[in-house]
Amino acid sequence: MKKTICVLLAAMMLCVAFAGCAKPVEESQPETVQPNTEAVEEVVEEKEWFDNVTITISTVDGSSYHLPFYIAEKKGLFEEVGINIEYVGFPGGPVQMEAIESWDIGTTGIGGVLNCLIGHDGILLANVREDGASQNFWAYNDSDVVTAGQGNNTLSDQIYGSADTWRGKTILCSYGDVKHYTLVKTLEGFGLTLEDVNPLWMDASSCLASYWGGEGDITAVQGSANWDADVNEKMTKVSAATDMGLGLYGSMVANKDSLADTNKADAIVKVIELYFEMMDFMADEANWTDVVNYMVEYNNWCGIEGDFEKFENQLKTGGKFFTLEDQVNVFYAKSENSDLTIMADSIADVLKFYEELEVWEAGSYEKFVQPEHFNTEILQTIWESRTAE
Amino acid sequence: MFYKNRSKSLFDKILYWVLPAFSIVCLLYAYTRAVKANPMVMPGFAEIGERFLDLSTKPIKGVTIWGHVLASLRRVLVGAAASWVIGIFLGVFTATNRYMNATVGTLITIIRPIPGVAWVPLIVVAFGIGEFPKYLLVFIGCIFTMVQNTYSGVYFVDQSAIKVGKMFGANKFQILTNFIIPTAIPAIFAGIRLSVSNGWKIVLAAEMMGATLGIGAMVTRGWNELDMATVICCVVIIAVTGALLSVAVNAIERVLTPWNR
Amino acid sequence: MATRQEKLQEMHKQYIKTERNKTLKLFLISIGSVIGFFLVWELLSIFGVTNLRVLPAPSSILDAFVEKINSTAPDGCTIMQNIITSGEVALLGFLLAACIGIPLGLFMGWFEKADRFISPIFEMIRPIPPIAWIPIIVVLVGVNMKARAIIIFLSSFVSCVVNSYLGIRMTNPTLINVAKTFGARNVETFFKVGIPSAMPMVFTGAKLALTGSWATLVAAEMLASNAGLGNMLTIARKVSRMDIILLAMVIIGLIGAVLLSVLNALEKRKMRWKSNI
Repeated sequence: MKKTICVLLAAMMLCVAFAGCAKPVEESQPETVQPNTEAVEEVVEEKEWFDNVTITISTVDGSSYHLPFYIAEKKGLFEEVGINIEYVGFPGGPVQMEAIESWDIGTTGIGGVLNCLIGHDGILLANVREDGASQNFWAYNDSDVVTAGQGNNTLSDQIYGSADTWRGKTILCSYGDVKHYTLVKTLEGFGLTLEDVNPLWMDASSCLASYWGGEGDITAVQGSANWDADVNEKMTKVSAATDMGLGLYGSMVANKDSLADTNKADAIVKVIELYFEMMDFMADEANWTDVVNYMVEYNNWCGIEGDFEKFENQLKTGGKFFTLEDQVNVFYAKSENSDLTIMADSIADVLKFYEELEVWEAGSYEKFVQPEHFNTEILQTIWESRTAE
Repeated sequence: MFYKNRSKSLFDKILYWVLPAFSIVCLLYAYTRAVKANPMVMPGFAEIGERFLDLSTKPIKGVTIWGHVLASLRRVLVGAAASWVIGIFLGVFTATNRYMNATVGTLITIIRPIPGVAWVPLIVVAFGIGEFPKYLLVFIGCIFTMVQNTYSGVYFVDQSAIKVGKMFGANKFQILTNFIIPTAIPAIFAGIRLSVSNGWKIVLAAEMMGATLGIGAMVTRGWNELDMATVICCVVIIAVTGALLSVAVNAIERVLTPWNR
Repeated sequence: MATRQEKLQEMHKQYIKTERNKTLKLFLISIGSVIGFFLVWELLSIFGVTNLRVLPAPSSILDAFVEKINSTAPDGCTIMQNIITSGEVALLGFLLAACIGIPLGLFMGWFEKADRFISPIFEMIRPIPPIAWIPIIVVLVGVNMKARAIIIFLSSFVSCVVNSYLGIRMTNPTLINVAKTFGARNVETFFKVGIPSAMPMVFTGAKLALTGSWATLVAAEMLASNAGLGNMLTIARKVSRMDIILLAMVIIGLIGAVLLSVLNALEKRKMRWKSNI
C-alpha cells in the first residue's frame, strides 16, 4: 500500500516537473533578415545602439495599423539598432487593453483608445490611420435600400437608401462600438433615430453569418470580410464610416509604465521614428506592390486567409494613413472648441456620443481629457530631429 | 438486457453491425443538408479536408495546428497537476479537521459556483495573457472538483477501520497515511478524471477569450474571419484530443490502482 | 438503579449539549470567515494595497449592483432583465435536455438495439466540449435565444444520457431475476425495476447537467448574445468596468448555487425510500 502511494506521488511530481519544464512555445517572430554582423559592427559607430532592449508591440491580428512595424522588422531596421521586437497579437480590442501590462506600445481602433485611456491609464501617442475602414453596413444587391439609390443622406452622398427605405429595417450591429456610432450617424443623416429601426445587437463576427443565415435586412460587417470576394459580389455597401468623414482615427497608444521606464523610453522613441519612416515608404507610389505583399505575408502569418487582391483593396479603400507631417501640421494644432489638440478632440467627440448612449458612464469625458493621457513630446522630438537633418 | 443470455439469431447479428453504420450515414446526411441550407458559410467535405491538410503543414503564428494543440495540452496538464497537489491537500484537511472545514471549506463553497469561464476577464486584467494566467485558469477550473471529490472520499471512510488503527496505537499521521488516504484513492482518481476533462473545457474557454496561441485561439481566429472550415477542423481536433485525454487518464488509473477493478 | 439511569440520562444530555454547542461554534466560524474575507478585501482596497483597476472594492461592487437595478447602462438591460434572460434560457435548455436525455439514456441502457443505433451518433457528440459548439451553432442558427437554448441543450443532454445509461446498467441482476420469476416481461421489468433503481444516478446526472448548463450558458452569452448576465460581463469588458464584471461573477455564482440547492432538495424528497445517498 505504502509503495503504491509513493509511486503515485512520484508519478504526480514527475508530471508536474515535466509539464513545468516543457518550454512554452514562444510566439516566434516572423523571420527576420539576419544582417551580416561584421557590417553592423562597422556601422555601429555612426548609428545609435540600444543594448538589446526588448519592446513589445501589440495589435489586433492582421490590422493594417501594424503594417509599418511589420515592414520595418522585415527590413531588419530594428535589429540594426539593437532593439528586439516582441509581437503580441490579440483577437479583439477589449482583451488588448485588459492585458496592457504585457505590452509597451500598441496600435488600435477608436474603441480601444477610449478603453485604454479611461480604463487602463494608457497614453495616446499618435494617430495612425482613418479608422472606420472596416465599419461598414452592407445589404443584398436586391434589397430596397440599394434600389432606392444614393444621394438621399445629408452626411454623405455615398450612402444608399432613403428615410422611408431605412425605416423599420432590421439591422444587425454590435453594441457600444464604432459600428453602433456609424449606424446612429447614418440614421441621423436621414433624420431617423434608433427608435425608427429594429436593431439586433450581437457580436460583430456573428453579424455576417446571421445575415447569410437569413436574419435581418442590413448588416454590419467586421474586419477583413469587408474585402471578401463573396461579400463584394452579392452585397452592396450601403453605408461607410469613412464616407461620412466622421473623424474616427486609429491610433498608437502606450503603456504608461513603459514610457516612464528609463531603459525603454529612448528605444520607444526610436521604434516610433522607424514606424513613421515606414509610413513614408508606404506613401510612395513606387513601393505599392511591395507594401501589399508585406500585408499579405503579415496576414497569412497571423492565420488570416486572403490573396493579393483582397489586401490591395483593403489598403486602398481603407482610408488615409497619417504620415508624420500630417501629425505635426494638423493634429498638434489646438482645437478651437477646447483645450485639446484636434486629434484628441475628435476622439473626445465620439466619447461624448457614447456617454449620451450610456455606454460609457458619465464622467468618462473628464477622465479622458486628463493631460497625462496625451504625449506629444515624442512626435515633436522625432519631427525636430528629422527637420534638423 | 433482460434476455442477454439468449443466443442471438443471424438477424440480430447482422443488425448489430448495420445499425451503427446506418446512424453514421444519417449523421453525414444531416451535415450535407446543413451545408446546402447555408452554402456561403458551411464548407463541404472537400473543403474541410483541404483545410485540414493546410493547417497541418502551414504554420500560423509560427506553429502548425499540432503545435497549438500541444500548447493547449501543456496548459491543461500543468494547471491540472497543480490542482491535484493542492486539491488533495485541501480536501484531506477540510475533511479531517472541522475548523479547517468551517473556514477554508466555507470559502471554497462560496467561490465554487462561479463558472471558470467567468474568471477569464479578471485573470486577464490581473495577469495579462502570458502562460501563467492560463495555468491559473485551468487550476481554478480543476481545483474545486478535486477538493470536492477528495472530501467525499475522506469523509466517508469507514470509521471502524480507523478505530482498529487507534487500537493498535497509531498516531494521527499514521492513521492518515495508512487508512484514510488509501481508502479515498478511488474518489481521488474520480476527481482526477473529472478535473482533467474540466481542465480541457476551461482551457478552451480561456483561449477563445484571451489568447494568441492554442487551439481555442485557432477556433476564434477562424470564427472572426467566418472561416468555418478551420472552425470545424479545430472542433474535430478538440473532440478527438479530449477523448484521447480521458482514455489516457483511465489507462493510468488502471495501471496505478490495479486492485480497484 | 434509579440513580445510575439518572446519571446516564444526565451524561447523555450533556453530550447532546456539547455537540450542539460545537456545531453552533463551527457555524459561527463559517459565517465569521466569510465576513472576514470581505472585510479584509475591503480594508486592502481602502489602504491601496490592491490595484483598484484590477480588483475593485466590495463596496464598489455593491454600488454597481444598486446602480444596475434601475440603469440599463452599459449593456442595455437592467440586472433583473439580465437575470431573467439568462435564467430562462438555462432552464429551458436544461428541461429539454432532461426530458429527452433521461428517457433516451434509460432506453439505450436497457434495449440493446437502441444502444447500437444511437451510440455512434452520441459518441461523436459527446467529446465535443459545449463551448466548442458555439461558433458552429451561431453560424447555423444565428444569435438569438434559440441558438443559446440549443447550445445549453447539447451540453446538458450528454450528462443526462450518460448518467441514466450508467444508472440503469447498474441494476442489480437479482432484482431482475426476481421479476422474471414473477413472470414479468422485458418492458414491464424496465418500468418497474430498471427505472426506479437508476434514479440516484439519474439525479446525479441532472445535477451535473444543471451546473454544466449554467457554465455553458455564461460562455455562450459571453461569446454570442445580446442580453443576459454573460453579455453584461462582455460589454463591461469593452468599457473596462471591473466592478460590473465582478458583480456579474458574483450573481452568476449565486444563481448557480441556488439552482443546485433546489435540485438537492428535490433529490432528498424523491430519494426518501433509499436508505443512504
